[in-house]
Amino acid sequence: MQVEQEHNRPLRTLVLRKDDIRKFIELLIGAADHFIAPRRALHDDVAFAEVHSADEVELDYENSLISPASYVLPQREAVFTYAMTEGQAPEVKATPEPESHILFGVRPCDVAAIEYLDRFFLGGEFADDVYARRREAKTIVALACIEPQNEACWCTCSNAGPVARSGYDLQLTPMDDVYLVEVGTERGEPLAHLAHELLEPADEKLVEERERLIKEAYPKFERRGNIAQAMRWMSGDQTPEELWEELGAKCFSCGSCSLVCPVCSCFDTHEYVEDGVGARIRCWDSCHFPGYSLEASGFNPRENEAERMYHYAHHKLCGDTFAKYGRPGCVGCGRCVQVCSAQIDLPRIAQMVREEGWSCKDCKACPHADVTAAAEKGDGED
Amino acid sequence: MERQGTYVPRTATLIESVEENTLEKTFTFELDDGTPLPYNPGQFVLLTVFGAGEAPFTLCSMPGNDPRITLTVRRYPGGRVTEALHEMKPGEHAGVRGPFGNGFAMEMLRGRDVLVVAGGIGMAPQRGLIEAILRERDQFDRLIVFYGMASPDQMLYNDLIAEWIEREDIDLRLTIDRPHTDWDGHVGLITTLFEELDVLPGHTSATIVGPPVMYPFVIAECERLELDPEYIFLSLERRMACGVGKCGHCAVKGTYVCIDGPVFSLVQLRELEAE
Repeated sequence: MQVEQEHNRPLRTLVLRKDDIRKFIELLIGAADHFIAPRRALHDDVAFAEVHSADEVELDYENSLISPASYVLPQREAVFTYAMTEGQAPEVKATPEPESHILFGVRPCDVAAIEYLDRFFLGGEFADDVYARRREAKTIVALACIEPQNEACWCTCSNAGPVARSGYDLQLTPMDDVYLVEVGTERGEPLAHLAHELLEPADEKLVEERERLIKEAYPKFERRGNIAQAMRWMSGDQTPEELWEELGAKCFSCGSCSLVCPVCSCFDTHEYVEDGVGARIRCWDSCHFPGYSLEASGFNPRENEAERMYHYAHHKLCGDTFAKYGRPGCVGCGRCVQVCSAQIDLPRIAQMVREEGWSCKDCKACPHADVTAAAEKGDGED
Repeated sequence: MERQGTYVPRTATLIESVEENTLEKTFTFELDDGTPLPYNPGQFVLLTVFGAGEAPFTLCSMPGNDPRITLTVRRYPGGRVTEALHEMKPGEHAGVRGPFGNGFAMEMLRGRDVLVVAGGIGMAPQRGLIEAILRERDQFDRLIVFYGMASPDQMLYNDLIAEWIEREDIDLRLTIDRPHTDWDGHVGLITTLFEELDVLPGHTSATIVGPPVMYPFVIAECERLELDPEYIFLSLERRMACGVGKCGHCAVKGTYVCIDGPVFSLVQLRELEAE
């Protein structure tokens, strides 16, 4: 699969009347084996789940705690199965072709996360064929944000929102009484075609109006993390050890931040066997767990929380991640802010890295003096 | 390399398992499809014991174009895969993926003196390297092998070691950590072998494999001898669940031990630490 370039221009820009949105969804529902959309669940929670009619789709929602990226990299999935017969070699089988899904209402942060996962799993020395086949069967219909969903949203800091500039097949941006509909890829075209009676070409004025709305939205997002600045300190290893010890002392090693993170992709494998039929299951793992790097011999290269915290933050914020995958290891979705009971979520870590990072306060010769001064004034957005 | 996909192993039949000592066994598997599995010394496979799981082990047989592979594995109580593997009987089946990783860079050893340092089960990966060197012996100058173990009953490959002792083209030096009634050779940690070593610093490559605790002390000895850090190679072990740079477990900053290693030069390791 081809990884899309960032800031692609849409293939086509269309308009959908807000009054027609349910009709639009109804037309899309039959276009794949499964239609996944935000759905109101118990206690008013919203979760991405299968829906069978447009009425079930929630259009006004805070982002779900579990990202729709979990349809691309599920919490558990078999990577192969095998049948064991006494005295014979097991019959090993690749997993069957995945069914197709339309993921509707994916927020731009999660679109960016899936794009990151694509680059990670499909690039490098080895492409992950299990991921590739599952991903190939997904169509992404994004729903842009023109304001933060909650106070934790900080996608503008990591260049992942408030609208997607790539990575979507279709994208809807809510405006006054219409949605601006962008067709991002060839895969989005059949969906636009299905709903062609409801869609009209958008004029340039509407597109300009949307850009104005985005500009207005920017200041409404949380900015304390300032990822760009934190990345500079992480990449140059300009962070004091005491910072990691302090963060390690606070961390409960519960792994929640990485389990809800749509960018985190670490997995472990387990064997599941019943009645002679086995499967290798891969399931999410977290580098915050003490057992993550523990070897059978008892040796553990990252046995204390401080080392694990550094590893986690380094992977999220170092320039190496940016160079390889075109973005930091964070899309600013704010989920870690919602779950971290120690209040050391990623924006908080980024803030601490920025403030505690080896700074030039006392050293006039420091080559970073200008940057540090700017950051200390609070306008280090660069 | 793999026909069915990234994670699907090829099945292999256990041909024989040899008890090396109370802790370790050496297993020879033959791939059921009969296709050879060529590899470089220092590379590893992910071995599946069906029903138990998968774990990485470095190949220790002579690298060749052969459907047979050999692994020496220590049994760790509580280690699901090693315990199940030690229970396997000839004729039973396992799964093999790989080979993975870089292995030793032979071009950095050719034409030079080679100092092979093996601590305990670190001899397993080193065995393949020593055999590869012996196969084209005239391509290398001196071959010095340091092999340290806790006690004489922990020695691996007794017959092979006996052969090596007889050969004049290997300078093999053995040591055990503490005095033992069955031992009249050198006694002391592996670092004590360096005391009587004459090397040409600019002409010597070193390969080091052993328990993690051994590395800093052996590195210090290599530095005392002024060996070039570009020519000091160490093999790292990490927990792994994929072998292809995806599961994340073996990552050290942006470097993946499974695809960028497991063999690193001392220069590369220092860069990782300093980053």
